[in-house]
Amino acid sequence: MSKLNDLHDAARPFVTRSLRGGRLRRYLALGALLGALTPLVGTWLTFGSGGFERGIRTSLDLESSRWQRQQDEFILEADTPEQVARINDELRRARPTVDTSYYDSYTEGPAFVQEAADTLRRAVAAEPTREHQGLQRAAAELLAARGLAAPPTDHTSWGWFNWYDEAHVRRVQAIVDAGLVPRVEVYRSPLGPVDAVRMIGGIAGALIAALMLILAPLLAGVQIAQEVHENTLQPLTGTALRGRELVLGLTAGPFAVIALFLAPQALIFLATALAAGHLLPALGALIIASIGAFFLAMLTQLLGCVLGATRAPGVVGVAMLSGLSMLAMIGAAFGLAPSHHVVGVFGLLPQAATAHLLRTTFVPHQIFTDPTLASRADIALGVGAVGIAILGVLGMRALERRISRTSLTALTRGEALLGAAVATLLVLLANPASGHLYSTSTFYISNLAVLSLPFAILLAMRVPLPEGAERRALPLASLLGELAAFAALHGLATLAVVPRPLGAFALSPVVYGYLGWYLLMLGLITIRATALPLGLAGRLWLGFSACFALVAFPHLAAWSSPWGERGLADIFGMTMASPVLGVLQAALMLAIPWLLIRRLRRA
Amino acid sequence: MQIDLTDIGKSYDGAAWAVSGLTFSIPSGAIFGLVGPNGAGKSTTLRLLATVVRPSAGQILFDGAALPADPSELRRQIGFLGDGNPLYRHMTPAEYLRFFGQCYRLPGRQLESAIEQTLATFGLDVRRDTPAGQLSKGMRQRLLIARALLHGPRLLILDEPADGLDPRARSDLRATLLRVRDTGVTIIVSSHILRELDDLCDSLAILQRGRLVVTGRVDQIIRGYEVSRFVFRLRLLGGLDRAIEHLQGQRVLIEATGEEDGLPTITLQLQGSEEAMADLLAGLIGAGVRVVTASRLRSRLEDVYNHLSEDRVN
Repeated sequence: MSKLNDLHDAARPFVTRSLRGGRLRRYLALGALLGALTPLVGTWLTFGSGGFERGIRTSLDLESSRWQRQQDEFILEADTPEQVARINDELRRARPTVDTSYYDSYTEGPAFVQEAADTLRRAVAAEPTREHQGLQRAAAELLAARGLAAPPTDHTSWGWFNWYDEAHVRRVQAIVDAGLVPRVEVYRSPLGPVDAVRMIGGIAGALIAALMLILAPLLAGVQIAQEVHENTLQPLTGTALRGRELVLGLTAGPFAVIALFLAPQALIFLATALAAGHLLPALGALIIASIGAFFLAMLTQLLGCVLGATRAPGVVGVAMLSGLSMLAMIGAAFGLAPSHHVVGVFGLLPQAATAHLLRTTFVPHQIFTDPTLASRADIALGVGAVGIAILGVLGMRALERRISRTSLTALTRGEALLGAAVATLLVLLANPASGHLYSTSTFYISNLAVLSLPFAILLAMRVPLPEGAERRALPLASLLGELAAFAALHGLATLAVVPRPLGAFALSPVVYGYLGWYLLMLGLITIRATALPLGLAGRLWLGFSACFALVAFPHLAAWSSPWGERGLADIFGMTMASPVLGVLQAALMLAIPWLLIRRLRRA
Repeated sequence: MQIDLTDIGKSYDGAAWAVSGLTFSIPSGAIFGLVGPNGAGKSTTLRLLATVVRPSAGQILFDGAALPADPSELRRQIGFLGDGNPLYRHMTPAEYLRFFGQCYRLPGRQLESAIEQTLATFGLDVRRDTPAGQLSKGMRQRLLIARALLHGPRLLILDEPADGLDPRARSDLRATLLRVRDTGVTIIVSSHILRELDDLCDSLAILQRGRLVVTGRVDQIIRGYEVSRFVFRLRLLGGLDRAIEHLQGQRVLIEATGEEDGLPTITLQLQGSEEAMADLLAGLIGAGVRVVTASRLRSRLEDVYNHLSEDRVN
C-alpha cells in the first residue's frame, strides 16, 4: 500500500503537469473522437467495395484478390451493374478459338473465356491422377462440344498444367461446372458482421500498439531531452521525490496523455476480442505491449538524457520517431506474416510479439496450427516478456542514477552482466541454432553482430558519469574486461545451445585475433563516445573507426568457415584487391586502437 | 535549522576533491553566506547541504541528526534553488508552484492554500495565469524563490540568486530574504559578488579551491581583520600637496586621493591604533593643513576577501 502511495505521489505532479489547463478536456475529447472513429473505419474497411478497402482485406488474408477469386471460382467481377451488362454482352458474342496468340486484342470477358478454354486444353493434354480422370474426361467433352478439342502447342498455348496442384484442379472443376460460361457479378465484400467486429478490434489493437510502442516512448524521450536541454531537471532532483520516483513520474506524465487516447481503444479491443475473437491473446497483447512500452520508454529516456544535453528536443524527437517507427514496421512484418524460422523474434522484439498476438486474437496465422511451432512461439513470448521486463528495470535503474547522480556509473557491474546475459538469451532465441547450417563459430559471430549494440549500450552505462567540470578517472582496462566478459558469456551460451563441433572457431588463431580486435574496437569506440565530449572532427573520426571495425566480420566469417583454402595473404583481406591496401588495412588496424587508447589515457 | 559540517569532503571521481575538510556551523535562523570565486566549491557545498549529493567524507548534522540514507523526508524541510535558475516557460506561476508543491508531496488542500499565499507574498498573484516565459526577469526570480519556499522549508538554500538581476530586483531580493529570515527560516546564500552579501548575511564562510579559508559572523570577521588595519578618509580645505608631503614622512599608506563636495580627500591606511591617528592629525594641523573631517572607513567583506584570497573576485 505504501509503495502504491509512493507511486501515486511520484506520478501526481507529472500527470497534473501533462493534463494542466484545458489539456485534460481536449485529450478526453480527442480520445473519444478516435474511439468513435474506430468502429466507423472498421465497418468501412470490412464492407467497402473499393480497391483500397479490398487491398487492406487482401493484405490481411481476409479475402482473396480479384485475380485469385476469378481464377478459383471462374467468375468475372465488375464494379457496377452497367459493367456486368457490358461484359455479359461481350461474352454472348465471344467465340473462343484454339489459337490464343492474340489475347491482348480481346476485351475482358472473351479473353477470360479464352484463357479458361486454354486451361482446359492443357488439362486434357496432361497426365491426370487417378482420382481426376473423370474430371479430365468432362473437360475434354466440354472442349469437344465447343469445337476446341485441338491439343495445345507452343504456338497456341502457354503455361503448364499439373493435376497434382490443388489450385489447378480447382480451376478446371470450376470451369467445367460453369460450362465454360463464367458468372458475371458486381463485387461485394465477402465479409460479414463478425468479420466487421474483428476488423474493428484489429484497428483498435493496431492503434493500441502504435500508441504504446511508438508514441508513449517517443513522448517520454522527448520530454526528458527537453528537461535536460533546458536544465529544468536539476531542480527536481532537490525535491522530496527519490530518483526512482522521478523516473516513474517522468514516465507517468506522457503515459497519462497516451492513456486517455488508449482507454477507449482498449475497451473496444477487449469487447471485440470477447465477442468475435480470443480473449487470452488479447490480454497477452496488452501485457506485452505494456512491458514493451515500459522498456522502450526507459530506452528513449536514457537516449533523451544523453542527446538532450547537446541536441534540440525536436531533433532528438525526429531521430527517436524514425527509430521507433522502423522497429514497429520490422516487428509488424515479423508478427503479422511470420515464417517458421523467425518465431523466436517474438522474444526479442515486443513489436513483433504484440503484432503476432493481435493477429492471433482475431485471425490466427495458419502456421500456428502446428502445435510444436505454436509452443515455440509461446515460449518466445514468455521468455521475451520476462527478458524485456528485466531490461526495462535495468534501464530504469540506469536512468535513476543518471538523473539523481547518486552513483558514478549508471549500472553496477552485476547489473550490466545481467543485462548482457538477458540480451544474449533473447538473441539466441531469435536466431536459434536449429536454423543455422554452418558451424558454432559462424553462429556465434552472426549473433555477436546483433549483440554489438546492446553490449555497447551496457558498456556505455558502465562508463563513469560526467559530473560538472570534474576530472574522471577512466578505468579503461576494467571496462574493456567487462566487455570481454559479455562476449565470453555469449560464447558460453552459444556452446551450451549448439550441439555441434566447435569447428574452425576453436582452431584458428586468426579468428581469435579478429574477435579480440573487434571487441577492443567496440569497447574503445563506446568508451570514447561516452566519456569524452565529441566535436565534429571527433564524430567523423569515431564514425570512420566504427565502419572500419566492421571489416572484422568478413574476416571472421571467412576464417571460421570449414570450406576453402586460406593463406597468409588472406589475413588482411584487402590484400586481394591490392598489396598496398593490405598494408593500409594492417596499419589502420593497429593505428586506430592505439590512437583511441592514447586519447582516452590522456583524458 | 542548525547545520553542522564536520570535515566534509566530496569527490566525484574518487581522485580529485571538489571540496574537502569543510568544518563549520550554520546557526539556526541566520542568513549564511557562502563566498568564493567560480570553481571554489560553493555549488558542491550547497548541493551537499541540499542533500542532492552525498558527501564522500565527513558528516553533516541537520539539527543534530545525521544525514539519513533516504533524504526524501529531510528534503521536505529544505528549499533549494540551484544555479542556472531554470523555469518551465509555458507554465504559469500557479501551475509551476502546484507542480513543485506536489513534488514535495503537499496534500491537495494545503497545497492550494500555500500557492495562493505564496503568490500573494511574492507579488505574483496578478500574474498568476501568465506564462512564466512572459514574466520579467525579476518576477521570474521571485517565482523561483517562491517555489523554494512553497512547502514551508526550515532551510532555504540559494545558489547565486541575484545572478543577472538589475539593481531594483536585487534590492527586492534582499528585502524578501530578510523577510523570510524573520520567519525563522535558515537561509544559505552563495555569491561571488561580495557587496550583495555584505549587509545581508549574519555569518559566512569563504571558500578557496574547495577548502575553507575563514568562517564566522560577518562583523567578527571584519573586526578580526581590522585589528591591525585602520583606514581613514580626510577631507581638507585646500593644502592637499602639503598634506601629502607631510604624510610621506609618516608610517602611513596613501590609498587614494580624490574629491568630495568640491573638497580634496585623502584615503589613508595606517598601522597601529586610533591614538596613532590622533597624533597624525595633530601633526597635519601643525603643518598648516586645514582638515575639515577625519572619518574612519569600516572595512567591507570585499576588503577582507581581497586580503585573504589568492584570487581576486569582482
